[in-house]
Amino acid sequence: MKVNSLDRRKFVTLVGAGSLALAAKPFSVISAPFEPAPDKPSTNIADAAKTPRHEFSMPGRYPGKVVQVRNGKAVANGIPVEEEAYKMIKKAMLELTGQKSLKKAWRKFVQPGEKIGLKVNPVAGVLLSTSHAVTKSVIKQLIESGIKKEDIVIWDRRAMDLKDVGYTSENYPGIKISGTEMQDEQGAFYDKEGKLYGENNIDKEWYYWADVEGEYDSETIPYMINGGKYSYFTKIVTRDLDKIINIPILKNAGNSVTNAMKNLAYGAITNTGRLHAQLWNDTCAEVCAFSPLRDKVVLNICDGLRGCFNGGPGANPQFICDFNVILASSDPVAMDRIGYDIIVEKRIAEGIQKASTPEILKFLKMSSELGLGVSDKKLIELKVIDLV
Amino acid sequence: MIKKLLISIGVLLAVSFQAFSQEVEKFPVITVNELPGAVFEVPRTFSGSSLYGYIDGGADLYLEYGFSGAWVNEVNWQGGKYTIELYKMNSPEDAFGIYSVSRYRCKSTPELTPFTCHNKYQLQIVAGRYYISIINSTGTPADSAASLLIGKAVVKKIGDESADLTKFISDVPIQTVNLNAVLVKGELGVRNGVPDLADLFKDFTSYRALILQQKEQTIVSVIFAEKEKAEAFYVMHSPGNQQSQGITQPENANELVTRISDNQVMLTIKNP
Repeated sequence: MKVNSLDRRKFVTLVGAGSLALAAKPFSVISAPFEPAPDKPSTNIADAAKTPRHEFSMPGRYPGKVVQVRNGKAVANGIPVEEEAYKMIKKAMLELTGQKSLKKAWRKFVQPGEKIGLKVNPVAGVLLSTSHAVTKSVIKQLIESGIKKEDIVIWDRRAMDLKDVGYTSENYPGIKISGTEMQDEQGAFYDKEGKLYGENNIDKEWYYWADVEGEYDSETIPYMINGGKYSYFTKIVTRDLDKIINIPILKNAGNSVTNAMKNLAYGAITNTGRLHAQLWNDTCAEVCAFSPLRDKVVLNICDGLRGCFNGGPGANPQFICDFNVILASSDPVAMDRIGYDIIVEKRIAEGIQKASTPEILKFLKMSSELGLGVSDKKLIELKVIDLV
Repeated sequence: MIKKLLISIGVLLAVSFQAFSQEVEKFPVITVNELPGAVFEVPRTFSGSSLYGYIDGGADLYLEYGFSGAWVNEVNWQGGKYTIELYKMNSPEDAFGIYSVSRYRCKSTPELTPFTCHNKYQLQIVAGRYYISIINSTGTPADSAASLLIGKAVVKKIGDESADLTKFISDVPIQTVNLNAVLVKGELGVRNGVPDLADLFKDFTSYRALILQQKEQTIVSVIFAEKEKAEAFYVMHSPGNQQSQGITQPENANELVTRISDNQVMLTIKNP
């Protein structure tokens, strides 16, 4: 999967040309995502199947099984409560695995000595980020299960987003915080050689190719790392980690959902701007089919304590609400399907839409066809637990 | 040596370009002159697709409407902390569009501009080409009141140009439009603002539509860039009728379709 030097030169040239062109004229409007055009661009999804699966590959140990724990005390005055989050996650883990001991439950997924990444979602800022209550509870339970602090990494695409919402070494002493796109202390994206810091963090051996050109201006490129037709995986997932625990939050995207799959796909690769318009569904599904995600993401814990039912994936305060739920599953596809129901129920209650339309969840159907999980609600085993 | 020289030139060009970009995009920013005692953090600006750097996938919606640039800053003032976001859209109509799919159950509508929505945590305003959002994190009355003062200061710098939406629907009180109308230009706007009408626009592009949802009926006024598309939309909603002007009662008794002009069609849908 290496990119040859000609392609590399080509995309650098295109990025440059794109910058000049964009400087000279207004930016064009990007057309609507979700509904791919009939002549949808091709991708290298066939490459994903070349890497053999293993026992932990998606949908993992418990295909189609989702545990939903509800707790009316999970949020107090708009702040998720860590003690309650801990109890909810514990209950979810025991139910998911069928174990009586929390340690044994966690050991179904991770082992001491493994480097374990927690994929959080801080992109919408402090109002709508994976909560510290949930992340700290997960860390606490991992440590109680015998995982060493120094083997835990909190990661996302942008180091600056992590910092903005409080994922810092001060708040998480001894835990590594890692982002692909990054700035230095002066806020610069480029080093003295004129190279993006983020470029050192990508692995060009692993990429998602799609026949859509990414052309960005100089302000955008630090957030994309590269233009062209290749989206490279971050080294965080290809090299640094052995296992990944995905901790998304429950958000809508129009009348669809962004939860586990989107958090992984768009958080692990570069050059994503080009992938929204025509290939949103494909990207959510197909990027997760590549080995660095498919074979390393062993568990998904959805932070549904607070989330949004409209205006997502951005954070509009009037649409942020307390869902008071934790979802847990090794199957991100099934978890997204259940997450959708929770959001839609709220949207209907708020009068934003009249009926559920799960048929729009094309990325889940695609994911299912790629063998990443169960999208058919009838085949999902949902366990709902209410904590008083 | 040559490599180093080329790198230096490249960095210089990038810096110059960035400086040039910032020169081009002017924002009606407020300072301590307008908010005495305020402490501003370093502002961030975004143009075009760099909005992905700020709100990631959320940028798509802004880009669909026609986004020019954004200025974002945080300010500490009078004991509160506020996030000020100025989104410069391509037109006042585009600014109303993004506002219309972002506001929700306004607690009050202060008369800063015709299109203002105030809630506990957020003040949203359309002023000229700008969609303005001022967010406070506490929702207290004090923070809410301070947001209003910040909003006033920003609006004062923009002037009173406002989106003219009468071409879509006339004879409707502006406050009704402020509270209930949704303006969409593409699929994302539809999915965010009027998801139940997604099928209505399914096969259409290059349109602007104002949707007014009332108790008894929903009025959909669509202006197409091409008259052929307006014709197709009109015909689709008036089965058996090929005339291009006038009012028709279609087979579906819940809909009334009107061809307003070559490019504009109005649909009135009775609510169930």
